[in-house]
Amino acid sequence: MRVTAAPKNPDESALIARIRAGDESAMADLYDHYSGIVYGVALRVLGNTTAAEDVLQEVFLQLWRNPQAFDAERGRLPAWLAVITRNRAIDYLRKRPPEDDIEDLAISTGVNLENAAAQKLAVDKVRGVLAQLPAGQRRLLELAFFEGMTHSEIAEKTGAPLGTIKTRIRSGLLVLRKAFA
Amino acid sequence: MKEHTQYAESLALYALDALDNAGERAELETHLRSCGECQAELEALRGDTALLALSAVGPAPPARARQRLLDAISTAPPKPARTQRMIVGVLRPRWLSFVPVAAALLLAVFSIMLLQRNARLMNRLDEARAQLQKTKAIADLLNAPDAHHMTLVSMPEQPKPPQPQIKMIYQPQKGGLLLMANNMEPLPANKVYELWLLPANGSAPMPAGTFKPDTSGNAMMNHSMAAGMEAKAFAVTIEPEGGSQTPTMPIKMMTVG
Repeated sequence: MRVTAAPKNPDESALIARIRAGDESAMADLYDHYSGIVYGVALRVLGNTTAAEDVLQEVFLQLWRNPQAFDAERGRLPAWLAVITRNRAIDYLRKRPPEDDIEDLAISTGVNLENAAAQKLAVDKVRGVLAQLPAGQRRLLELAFFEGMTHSEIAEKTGAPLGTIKTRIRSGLLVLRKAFA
Repeated sequence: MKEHTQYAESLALYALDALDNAGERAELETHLRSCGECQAELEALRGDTALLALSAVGPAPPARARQRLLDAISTAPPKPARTQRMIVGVLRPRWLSFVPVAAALLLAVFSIMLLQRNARLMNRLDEARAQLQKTKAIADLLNAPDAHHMTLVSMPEQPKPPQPQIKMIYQPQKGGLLLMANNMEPLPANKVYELWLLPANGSAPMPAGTFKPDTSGNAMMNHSMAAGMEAKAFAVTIEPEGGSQTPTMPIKMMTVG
């Protein structure tokens, strides 16, 4: 059941070490590697390019100010950035005041996103897997992740029973995981 | 395993921050604190949500965003080491540039003052919070219905008036302990009084905090024992500064009744 982290990408650790040492050029490298993921997620949640750019700035700046928040042993950087960006964008959407510090969020994943080619492969694969899911189940995942709806909000919007929503969201996530196992 | 199955579906909603049933959420969080397996599954589920995020990848950020970030980084609140470097830099300006430099210097000094003032205020706030917590712990102990109120008096071979006296309250269930001592004999500089809990189950005496009386012989001590430790009695010995792990005879004071 447990998915352990894939072998650590040495470049990723080196990048974080340089950021921790205050090397501004490391942030440029980080941006070049991962801004596509961060911006794509922010734009999908917010549907507004200006707001998405603001969230992109905020996420990278917070990592710059507090690089300790990312623990290279516990999760891979792009996956972590994707989830942090989604959380920040939902905060923005719901007009919640931004937090001072980026949260320490443990993530484990088997997906390889270390370079542009690997990212493209993974993106295509995710889209393929999602396209195979029943439309209703895909919608539940999107409402929870990209629209930040809670369990009961989803039930109210879709009219589906709470138990069904719970089961379908979990099984949808597990289908994605299996595709990358 | 049945327990993990029971939490499995809630965990997926929790990973998405979508579990809005407060009771269910609290129960799951309690379970997560003690279950490594579910914690690992939560981390994996977060990884799965990151996969979901990938479906949104495609549009590139506007070209200006990169420069905007790099500009923001170079003017981001500098780390302490850089502040020093900046001040050293402005100490040798040409006289023509004095005005902007002085303004920058004033601004830097003003910023530092503000930072210091902010730090002081934060410190005071922390102190006030800590004090409030302490006071609350004492009030809880005083008002606890299951707390035992006890008095410790001097052993008979010490008939010196006025008699040393210790009043103390102990709440076994939470381990809270409050001690107020009066007329205590003065101690040499490197000695303290140490309180001992004599467990009801007959096991060895346990250290229950040290205290040192002021010049009037008074002392107060607030100490926490492991919760659930039933006491048969309490005793006081004199020990070296810092306290001991086993009592040094003789016993100076002991609970009565």
